[in-house]
Amino acid sequence: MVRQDEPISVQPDARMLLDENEQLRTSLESALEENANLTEDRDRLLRRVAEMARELQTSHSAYARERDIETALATDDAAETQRSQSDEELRVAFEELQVLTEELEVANSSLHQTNQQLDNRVEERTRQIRESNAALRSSEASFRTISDLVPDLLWRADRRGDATWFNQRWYNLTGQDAGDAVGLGWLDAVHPEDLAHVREGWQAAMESGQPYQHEHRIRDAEGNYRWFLIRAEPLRDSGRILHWFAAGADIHDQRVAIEALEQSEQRFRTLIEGMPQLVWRSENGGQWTWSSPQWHEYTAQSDEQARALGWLDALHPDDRAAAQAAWAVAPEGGVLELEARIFHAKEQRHRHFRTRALPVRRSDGEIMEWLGTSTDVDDILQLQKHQSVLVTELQHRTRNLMAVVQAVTLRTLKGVSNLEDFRKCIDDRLQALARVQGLLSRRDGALRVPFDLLLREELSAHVALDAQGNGEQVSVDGPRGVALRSGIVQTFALAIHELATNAVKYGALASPEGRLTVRWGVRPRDDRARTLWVDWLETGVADVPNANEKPRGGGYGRELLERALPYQLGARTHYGFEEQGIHCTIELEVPLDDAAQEKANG
Amino acid sequence: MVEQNLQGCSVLIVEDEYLLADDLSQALADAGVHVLGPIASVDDGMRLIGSTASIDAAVLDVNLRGDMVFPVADELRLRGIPFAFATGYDESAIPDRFADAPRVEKPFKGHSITAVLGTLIRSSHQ
Repeated sequence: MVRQDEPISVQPDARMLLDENEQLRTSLESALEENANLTEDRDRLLRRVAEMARELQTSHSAYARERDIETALATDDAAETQRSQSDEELRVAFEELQVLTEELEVANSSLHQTNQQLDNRVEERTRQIRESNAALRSSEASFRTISDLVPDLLWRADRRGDATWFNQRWYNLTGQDAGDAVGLGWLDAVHPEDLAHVREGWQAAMESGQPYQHEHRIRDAEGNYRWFLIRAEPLRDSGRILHWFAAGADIHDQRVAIEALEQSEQRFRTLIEGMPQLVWRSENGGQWTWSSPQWHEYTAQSDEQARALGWLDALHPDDRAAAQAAWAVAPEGGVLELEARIFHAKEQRHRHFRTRALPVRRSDGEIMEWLGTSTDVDDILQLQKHQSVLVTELQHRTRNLMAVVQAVTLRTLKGVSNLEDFRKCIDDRLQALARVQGLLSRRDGALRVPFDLLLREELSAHVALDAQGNGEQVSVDGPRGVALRSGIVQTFALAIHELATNAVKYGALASPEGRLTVRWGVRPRDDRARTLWVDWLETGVADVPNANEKPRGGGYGRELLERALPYQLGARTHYGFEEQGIHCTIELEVPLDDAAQEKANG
Repeated sequence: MVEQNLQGCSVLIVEDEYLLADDLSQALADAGVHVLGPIASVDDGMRLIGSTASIDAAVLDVNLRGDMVFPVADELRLRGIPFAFATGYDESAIPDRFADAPRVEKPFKGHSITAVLGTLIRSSHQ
């Protein structure tokens, strides 16, 4: 698949040889020209010699003729002079010819020598070129071996940026063949998301001649993309770009690892900045190096201010020594644990924090740094305190309730004559106790129980009531929502229960003619409390007992009203028989504010 | 069982729950005790201590309508009068300074109180 049709590069050696050949050719031409000149000179001389010879011949003929004439005629001095002049000319011409011939010989010999030298040099150069070509072929092979050996992708492009050659790795990786990859075909293997960027960068590099460097993804033969770092640089010859060479290093795993790390860091940061805890980093000894935005927001300290031991300033002065002591022992224990108050800038007060840090260790176990969190436990501590109060209160209530059940049982036993009576009576009273527990636990939050609700609960246990709390023989009249202190609800409810029970058994609700009217209201008492007054009036009761008569219910109800309520609630009560039935009044202290919540133990 | 040595002793009862106070008063009266109170609040308790010459011992309910009985206990301790807590509270609700005061948990039987009071009075007389 590799294109073998082009040499990898023009070797400088080869070009030098070619240049030298050119010079040789030039010098050969000039030698030949010189030779031609010499030949021309020689020919010219030969022509002259021939001409002179002819002249000599002519001159000799003339001389002989003249001599014949002279001989015949007479000796002529002039003719003699002319003949000796011709002889002289001829001699000079011969001498000249001789010199020329010598020169010609020298020239010929030099020409021959030059030719010989030229032949030798041409032969030498031819041999050198042959050797150089062989070397070139061998270096080309080396280059190909190396280019296929390196893990990188390599390719070459012409000076316009069109790829002309790729190493085997490129083809192996991308699955392209030479036909696919040349020109700008290799861009097809670039990830579509990176393509515009790569194309632009490549173009810019080709235009500017500046090195190209980009990280982008290349598709492998299976269609998966891998990250590569691609670099390209031009090869220049005296400033002119001959080629571009490009190399691509596989940085996929590295890049993916870095991305994963970045993502993990991003997640970590989001987590840290999203959590309610104040997070920080520290060196041994509590020398902070970083604190989270929460710390800055909470304490109004800047990152800079909190660094080193600056964070100590945000601690309650009484907790600073303990904090430093905790740091002193932390390396030994491998953990830092500390309870300290931290100043909350917004509330302008210190709040309780639980601080904990663990060391980050190097591979040799040495502590590199500490990562710590400070958790606001102020609310939890408050709640724990509150809960502890509630549990205590519950204990108190439960034990007290058991004691009250015990006392009620004993009193009920004293007031009945047989077990059947006891069963009915104790059942009623335990249910009344259960109802009042229900009332107390049904309170929303710690809201108090209102009197109308307590009254309704007790009456409706005996008779049917409408939405206003009125029944066939019962009418009620009073403001709603008059709140009672929780501590008095139980005893008060038991007292109302006894009144209602007696009314059903012996009083207004024992016969159809009877009628029960309950009225109540509040009136001011002092600046701390009000008085609730209740007026319980039964009418239409035929069988009103004599005041001196033994109480019909065993006297428990009356005891509650006349003794327990005053003792326990500070109430003022009156319990008496009037003409048409019982008339009972109760006055007791209630809180000023109906809506107010009360303490758990109120 | 009646504690003989409670005969004629003066015992203060502080208990805000009428029925319990009444029952306890009855039980102690049956044992020959001269009952002081019962009283239902800290203020009344302090007043009664201040105005009574001789108190041999006291039984204190811990929670009086939301108020803790401890000021009364401190006053009694100041006067060297032994006392026991009659309580529904667990140990932790009672301050350490009263760790040595005996406790009787509610609901209690009358004679368990008289036994505790008998021990208290005996040891305070020694």
